Amino acid sequence: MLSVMTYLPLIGAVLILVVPKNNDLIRWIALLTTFANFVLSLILIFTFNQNVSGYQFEEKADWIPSIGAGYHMGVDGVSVLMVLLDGLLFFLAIIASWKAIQTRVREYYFAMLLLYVGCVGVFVALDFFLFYIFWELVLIPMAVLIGVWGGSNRRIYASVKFFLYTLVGSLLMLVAIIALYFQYTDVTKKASTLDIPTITNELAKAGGLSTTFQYWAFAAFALAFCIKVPLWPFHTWLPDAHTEAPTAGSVILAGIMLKMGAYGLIRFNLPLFPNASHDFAPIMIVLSLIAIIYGAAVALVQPDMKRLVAYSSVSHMGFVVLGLFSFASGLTLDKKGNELNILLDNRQAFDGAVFTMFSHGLLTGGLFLCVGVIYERLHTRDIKTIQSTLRIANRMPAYASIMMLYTMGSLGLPMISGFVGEFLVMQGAFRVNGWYAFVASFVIILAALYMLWVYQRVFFGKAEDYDLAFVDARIQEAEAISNAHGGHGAEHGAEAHDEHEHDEHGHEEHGHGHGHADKDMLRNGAKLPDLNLGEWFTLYPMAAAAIVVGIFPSLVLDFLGKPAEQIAHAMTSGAQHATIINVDLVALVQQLIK
Amino acid sequence: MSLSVNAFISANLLQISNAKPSFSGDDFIKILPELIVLLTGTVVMLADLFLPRDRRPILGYVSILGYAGAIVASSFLFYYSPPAGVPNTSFGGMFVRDNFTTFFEITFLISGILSVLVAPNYVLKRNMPIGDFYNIQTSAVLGMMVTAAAGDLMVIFVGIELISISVYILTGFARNDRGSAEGALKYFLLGAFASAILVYGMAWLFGMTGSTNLNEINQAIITTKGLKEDIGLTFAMLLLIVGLGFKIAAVPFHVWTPDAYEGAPTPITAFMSTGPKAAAFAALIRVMVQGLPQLAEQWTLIIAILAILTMTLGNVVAIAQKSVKRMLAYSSIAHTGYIMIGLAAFVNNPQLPNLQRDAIGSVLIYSLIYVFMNIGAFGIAIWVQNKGGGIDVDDFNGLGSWAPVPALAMAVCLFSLTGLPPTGGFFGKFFVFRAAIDSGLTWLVIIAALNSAVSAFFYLRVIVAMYFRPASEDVKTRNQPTGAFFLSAAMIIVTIAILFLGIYPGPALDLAKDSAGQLFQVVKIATGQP
Repeated sequence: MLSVMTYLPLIGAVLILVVPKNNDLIRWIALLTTFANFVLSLILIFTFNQNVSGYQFEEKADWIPSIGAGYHMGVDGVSVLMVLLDGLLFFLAIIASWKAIQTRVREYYFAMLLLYVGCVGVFVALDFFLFYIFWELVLIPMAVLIGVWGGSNRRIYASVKFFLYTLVGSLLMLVAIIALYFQYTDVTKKASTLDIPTITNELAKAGGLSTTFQYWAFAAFALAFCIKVPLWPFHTWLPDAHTEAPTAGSVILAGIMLKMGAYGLIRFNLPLFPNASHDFAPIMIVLSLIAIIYGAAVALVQPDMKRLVAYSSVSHMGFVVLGLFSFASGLTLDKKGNELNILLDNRQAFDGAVFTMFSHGLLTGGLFLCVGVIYERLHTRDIKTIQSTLRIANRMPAYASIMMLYTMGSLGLPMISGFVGEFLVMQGAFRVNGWYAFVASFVIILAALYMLWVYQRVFFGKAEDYDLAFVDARIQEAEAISNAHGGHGAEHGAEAHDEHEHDEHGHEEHGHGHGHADKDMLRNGAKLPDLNLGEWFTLYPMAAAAIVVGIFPSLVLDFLGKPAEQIAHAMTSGAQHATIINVDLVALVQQLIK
Repeated sequence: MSLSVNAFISANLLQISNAKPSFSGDDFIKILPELIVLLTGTVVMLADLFLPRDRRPILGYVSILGYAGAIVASSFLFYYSPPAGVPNTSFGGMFVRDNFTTFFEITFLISGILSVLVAPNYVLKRNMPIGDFYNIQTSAVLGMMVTAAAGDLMVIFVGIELISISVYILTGFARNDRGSAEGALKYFLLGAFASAILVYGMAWLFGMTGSTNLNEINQAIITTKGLKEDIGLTFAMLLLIVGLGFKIAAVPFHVWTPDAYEGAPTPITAFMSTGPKAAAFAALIRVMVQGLPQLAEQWTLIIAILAILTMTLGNVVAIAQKSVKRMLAYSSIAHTGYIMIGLAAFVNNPQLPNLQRDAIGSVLIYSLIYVFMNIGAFGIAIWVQNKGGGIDVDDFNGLGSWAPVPALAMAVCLFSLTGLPPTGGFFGKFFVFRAAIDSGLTWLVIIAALNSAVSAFFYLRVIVAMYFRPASEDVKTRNQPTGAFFLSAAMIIVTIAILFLGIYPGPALDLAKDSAGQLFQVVKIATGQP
């Protein structure tokens, strides 16, 4: 089942390569593949037994016996949610790119499906070697998506930056994986293996790794994952990548690839290096608080809608890390024998972190799709430009209402999924230290500020804001940039011209835009059509899902009971009891605030 | 028990040292692959004299057939074991037929076949004598095979010289090209100098231990009191490292590499950056692991330091290169560094057979994978050059759109060189890193990992040019089809091999480890450890 889900997109990708050059056929293949996988992910989640601990749907086979690498797949409560998110978001992303992508269609869908393979694989792989392969596999197609179908002339820069940032982290993680592999044999005296559950369980049985080793390995793993999450100060690739990526690419990047980092922290850092997780928790928490505030503050001043959503992602993902390490700081050894319960007392933090992961996938994915909708029509995402011409709320009511919903969800309105996760995380953080929760909750105000402000400017531009001279200036500026840009301009000058002609006939057939706004649309909003069928279909189901899990959070939380116990168990039995240090958190935070 | 083993060993050694140069049929079975290559070379040379000029390209088929025959013979020799009590050496211990030899031989032969496949269009277009090209190349391959099979310093020297002289000629093969002549001259002068150092080191080693046979050298170091600590022995070791370091192009003995690689005709560069390099590694392993394992603590440290210098310099300087060929030259220096990590991971402790096998096995498997990915990258560079383009990064602009298949092959090779899964390059690196971490060289591996990240930067530049940049104006005029059947075949083989070795490396890995294990078997028997 899991293998089918992983390799079905690969089959689709190969099919796309060999079929005759017919763009619609290629799109249908991609759509059917992702739809089939979405159905499979639904079947998976409905047949998943929440009350069994350990992994389900396991598949195991020998692969490279001489290094102990096996082909092992399986899902637990956390990964099954991520796989569902995979299924949903990829399906919607394919629909969202239906009209948006008109150039090099075959390559686009090939890259998309290849990306899908990696994105499923990462969450279901239960072998380090396999995991690493999928982990790196997502890099190439994503970089290509950004670099080829990306927005402006900074797209190559963004693509290379994304690639190199992630690669540096992963390579150090590879070193740590190999080191762990040998350490495992040393500690447990068992045959060496790369099997993740075996390593976790046996290490827990044997009493865990030495503290020094934990520190180093934790640092290497955490670096890779924090770059991916991304945690401040490793986040700088994210705004660039998001801004340049095509809409569907942004959705996948925000909805799934950021989750891979958090998933890695859950799967590896907490259970394998409990002491390090506990001892580094203050640092990680402070970094995540900085990320939360910094992301929100920077989002406030972004002129570009997509960049704004990207920075808000930094802020939201900060909550995930905050939750995870609030959970980890619960590890104490003051009361011998009771550690497990103490750790599980603060289960909200863990639940909240995973819940935020899930809801962030829905909400931010939705927000990026919303931005994509407006970008496809106007070829600009510049807030000021849009504000200066149009009152979109009047012209696109359906769009305005659905965007309102995502905005509210993102700023944490109760009844929508965003609230649940953040509330649980803050509750968990509060148990660790009131200050953490205070700082984090402060951000809700900022979130309301930036989300509502951008909403107001984009949708309710007032007549007195209208300033066509400004718009013209921006259009000319953008055209100048896109023409001045080297050989690129030479190729796309003609193409851009074509686009204009198409527009005059009222067609919606744009290639990937090159950052130059559509004059006609901006001047005369009458032609601005509301959501089309495809957009309805992408935006509404996700919003519905967000509301449903917002009202019935137990739908998601029920999946997390067993994994939380499992991780707590691994952490308590794997901790080196003698050497644990209890950092005085209050003093530390107070010092930091000063 | 140990007495009887010792008796057996000394009898064995006696047999080795007193063996008269008489050949038995068994000896000829052991050198069958070498004989096939020798025969091929001779046939090519003679046929070249009698064939009319325009028929000479068919000699390529003869070469390939010869190499393929040698591969088949070598593969059978994997299962060859000498009758009980007979050593697996022949010609008085000069020639060792173990799986280590066989594995390397197959690596060399593959590099030979692939270079024959990538060459024809390039060589013919530039009016180079293709028959001579094939002929000289066979002698280089023969030299490599002999080097890997050497059980004696003399054979190593003969083998290395056979390779070097052939490759000097090949480097200067484009007679009318200044760069080619310059590269060849530099290579020759520095190479002659390095050979002198090498042979001086060998002489010194002979003087210290009284033998040129690697096993006897090892034996002498163990049995002679105080010899291990002797500064003279260390000096000999250093000379050997310098001499062989030149041949593998390790920093700081690499200065000839960029010029020679850039000046040489591109198919030659593809060949000389893979086969001869692997052969020099084989020689290094034979000398260091089989001859001087007692000094392992010293030479592994030296190799580790040289590895850091080599990787770092290769990768950092490669970033600055505009020409893809020169970039690949520096990248091949960097890969020398990665392979050296595997060697540096060696520990002279027979109690840890797994560690030893992993260390040397990683060198073997990396060399094999490296042959595929490097010749692949050069192959596409040749293809672009054949289309009339230059060899700068800009010449790759838009390759992805006007030639998607070669671009894909190039991308696979470059990702493999970067070390990204699921390619063979990743597995090679993984296994090298694994061996090094196992022997406690984590610091070295971290440096290597950071180096890989640096290397991604310049490999990515070609990818960016191929896929993200539009093709230049003159593409249409130079995009004329040329019958590149051989080249396409090579690229298909390379791509499949890289992906196969990345996804299912198990069998190749087991073979490599087993081959490395046999090397230690030889060492063990020689030193009398049961």
